[in-house]
Amino acid sequence: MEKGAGSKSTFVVQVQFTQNSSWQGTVAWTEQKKEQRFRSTLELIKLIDEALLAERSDNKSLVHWE
Amino acid sequence: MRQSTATHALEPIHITMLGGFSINVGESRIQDTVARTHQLWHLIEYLIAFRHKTISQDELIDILWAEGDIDNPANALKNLVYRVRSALSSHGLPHAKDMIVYSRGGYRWNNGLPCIVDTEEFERLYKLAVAPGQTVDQQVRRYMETIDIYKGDFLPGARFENWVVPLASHYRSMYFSCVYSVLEILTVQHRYAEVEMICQKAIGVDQFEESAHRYLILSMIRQGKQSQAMTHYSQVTDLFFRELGVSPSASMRALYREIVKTIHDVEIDLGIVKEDLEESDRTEGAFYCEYEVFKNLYRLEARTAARTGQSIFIALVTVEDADGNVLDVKLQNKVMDSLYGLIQSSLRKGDVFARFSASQYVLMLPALTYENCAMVMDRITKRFRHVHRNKNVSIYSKVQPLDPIDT
Repeated sequence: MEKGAGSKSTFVVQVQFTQNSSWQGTVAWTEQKKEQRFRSTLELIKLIDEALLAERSDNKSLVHWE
Repeated sequence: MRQSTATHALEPIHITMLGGFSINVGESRIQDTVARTHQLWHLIEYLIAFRHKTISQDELIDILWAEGDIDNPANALKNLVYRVRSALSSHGLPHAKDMIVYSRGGYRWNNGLPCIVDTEEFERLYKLAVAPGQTVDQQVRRYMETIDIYKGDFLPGARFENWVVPLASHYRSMYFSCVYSVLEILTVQHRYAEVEMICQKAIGVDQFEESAHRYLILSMIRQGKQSQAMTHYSQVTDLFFRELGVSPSASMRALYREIVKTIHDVEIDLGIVKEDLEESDRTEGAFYCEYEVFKNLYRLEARTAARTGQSIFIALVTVEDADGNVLDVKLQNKVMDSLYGLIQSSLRKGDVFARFSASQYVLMLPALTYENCAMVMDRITKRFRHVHRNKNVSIYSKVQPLDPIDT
């Protein structure tokens, strides 16, 4: 089921390293008060994507967010 | 509107926001670890953080109920202010009812009461510390005072609140700016005990500050604490590998070489030297070492191989999922730990291996033909598959002969 368009998701990204032509650091999902580390830019985008999907769908569980 | 009490002869209100929130007046104290609703704390914290302006009701409602999930926000806010006053009062704080005042359609902190806020002190001292035209000793003292006030991040209990994030980042940047400025001076002055103390606190604030770890290791080396420096290096590189998948930087690796090469005291008893050289644990299986050590062993073997003609192979083992993608951090760390044991028990005592990256081990296999080497790798792969047969993980290995160095 889709949630209303009003629900928002805020992510705070702290890039701590830029090795291997990529980003490594921590991303915080403020609405859910969750924090996760990422080891590449792709991993960061995947984390955000997973959060957005979960936010917009009631039955989607989170695999990578603690 | 409540009127402020006369400021003279009043005990000052000490407010801490760095490292946790608390209000102290004399012996009375209230802190955000007291179990109450988050909104209650957020209201006081917000009014104090912006205590020099009146905050409109609408702004407070937006901050406190950002999701808009409340029926009568104006009434809820009024009720919350009442509860804040009661909470302050129940903890015996003097002037509890006067701390928050209603003014021009909004609320504000009562600045008529004498108040010392740690964040304001921190900013004031920071400005003094970075001001030009002072002696180095004065500057060091001021940096130390500034650092001392920073007990931790700004309002850690509210760190996910949107208004807290930029402020926390602002204070943390100032703190690390002070830390690195003073560390630079103290290092030049060879004041390594102080360097160590500052670094220990700094890495408590942010465990991924590589520069703080570097200064800490350097201070340990300079104080003759080689084994502590070595332990810390291993812990940090392992932490960075595990949590962020990053390898130690070039300057970090340079420090490792410095720990290793540090000159020992003059020793005339060869027995003691031998004892020092011997492995403390009689571990079975292959020899595991840091990548920096592995590099030196490789170079040594490359020199010897040119003379003896012995063939040596280098293998790189990578952990990935069935589709060749990087594994999830937790799973990867678990699999890498298990692979460590498998490699160690599958190779001979004289073989060497090291962690090359978050998901890779590099192996050196001397005195083997390519076929033998392939057999060894095959054995490791089979044992790995057996252990992880039900998981979506696999290993991929590549083998190449070592390039001998002709002299």
